[in-house]
Amino acid sequence: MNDVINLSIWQLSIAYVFMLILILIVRWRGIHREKLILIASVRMTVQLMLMGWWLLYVFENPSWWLSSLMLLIMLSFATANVYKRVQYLMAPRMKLLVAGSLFGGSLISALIFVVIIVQIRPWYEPQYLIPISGMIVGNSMTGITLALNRLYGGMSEKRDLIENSLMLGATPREASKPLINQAFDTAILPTVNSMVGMGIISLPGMMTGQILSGTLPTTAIRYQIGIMLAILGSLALTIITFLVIGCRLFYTGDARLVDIKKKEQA
Amino acid sequence: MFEVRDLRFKNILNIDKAVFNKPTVCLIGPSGCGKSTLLRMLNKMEEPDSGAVFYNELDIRSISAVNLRREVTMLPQTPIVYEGNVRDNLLIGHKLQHRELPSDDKLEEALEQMYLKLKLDQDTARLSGGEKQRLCLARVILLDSPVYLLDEPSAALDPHNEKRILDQIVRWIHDQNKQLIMVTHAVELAQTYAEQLIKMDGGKIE
Ligand SMILES: Nc1ncnc2c1ncn2[C@@H]1O[C@H](COP(=O)(O)OP(=O)(O)OP(=O)(O)O)[C@@H](O)[C@H]1O
Ligand SMILES: [Mg+2]
Repeated sequence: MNDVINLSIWQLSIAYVFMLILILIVRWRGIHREKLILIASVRMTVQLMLMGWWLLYVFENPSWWLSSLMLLIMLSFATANVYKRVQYLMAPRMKLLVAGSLFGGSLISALIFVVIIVQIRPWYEPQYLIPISGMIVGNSMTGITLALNRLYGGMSEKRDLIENSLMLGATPREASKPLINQAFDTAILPTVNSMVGMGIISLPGMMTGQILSGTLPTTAIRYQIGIMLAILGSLALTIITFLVIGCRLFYTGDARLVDIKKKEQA
Repeated sequence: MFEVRDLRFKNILNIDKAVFNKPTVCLIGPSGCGKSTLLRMLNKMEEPDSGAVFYNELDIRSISAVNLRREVTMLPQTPIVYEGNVRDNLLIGHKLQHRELPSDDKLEEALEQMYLKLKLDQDTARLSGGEKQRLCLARVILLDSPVYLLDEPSAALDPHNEKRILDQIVRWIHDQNKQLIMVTHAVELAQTYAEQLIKMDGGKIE
């Protein structure tokens, strides 16, 4: 294939015209968002530039510990993001479980994909490991957030129903079974649905990127298929680990439902 | 048989001693005095701040909650209907306890006992309040537990149905040598049924 056209700084700066158009529009309409748009554009530019340089450094100095450190940072940010996006107060044990499921589910799937499927040697080859893990972690993060909100919401809205099941002699696991299944469904559905339209109504980002950088489309789609399946596996592992253990944390030792509190709205 | 000693719970319950040892015990008292809370204490749906509850002389802390609830079945004040048809709703207790499911004949018999004219395949979403309440009663009666805690089982019923259904339940409790502890607002009926009448007020037993 032909070489990639290297986008020069000058060419790129033309793209900021799009930002200017937006600023002009909000100005004209009197929607006071100029500052936010400016800040967002600057942040995006600076953050991505830093990331570009950092990745360049990591790629040029591949080492197991640097790759592991990147994974650790990625997963920590993802975990913190989940904590932020859950609308309910989580007990420390629940937070620990969320981190554990996210780390476990994502790492297992990412390593299977990199080591067994694509057979990258060495396994820590950052050019593969990091972007692939990033996609897997990102999807698991969204999934577990959906599962958490759904589970907490269900446990508080359906409190009477669950208590009734307990009064009928159900174990906590039995009493929460319908909620667990709903939460699992909610968490995997967006990903499964996105697969339905893939290739017809959307060209996935990774594939598009590979094609732009000169990879044969037939190779790019193989990667895309593989990564989608790995994402699905990671989601399933992360969510089921979390749900199966997590549902028990909603009950006391004597099988009573604990109180569920929403976060104070800031 | 239940006994509670020095039971304290928030500022809701404050009971020094109470024994529930007759086959039919009725609990009456003004709204908000703690009747439902006391009932929930008896099957571990609520945990006392201090004091103890004894079931057949055994401190219930030493009995697993699930085992206790399979023996002491509670019907909450608000009828809870599960998604699905009448049959699903009648069977849910047995399913949750992993017990052998009763036959359709048994289910129909239970509906009849509650004077309910419903089809087993009928959807439950549109049942009336009183129908829901009787469906929930039929469900717990099918479980055939030794002890029942019923919280206002007739609140949604008209006087005629209230009388004949409570009659039916009390007779059944006696015939089967079971125990019934029932919260009720129907004071006159309570006085005729109850071998023991417990009056509560402000979290205390009078
Ligand atoms: N878990 C709880 N925490 C705090 N307050 C509670 C709790 N449960 C019940 N209450 C309060 O305790 C009081 C007693 O409630 P309870 O439901 O036992 O009353 P009740 O005697 O059954 O009334 P009613 O006849 O209206 O059903 C009420 O004021 C209620 O708001
Ligand atoms: Mg009550």
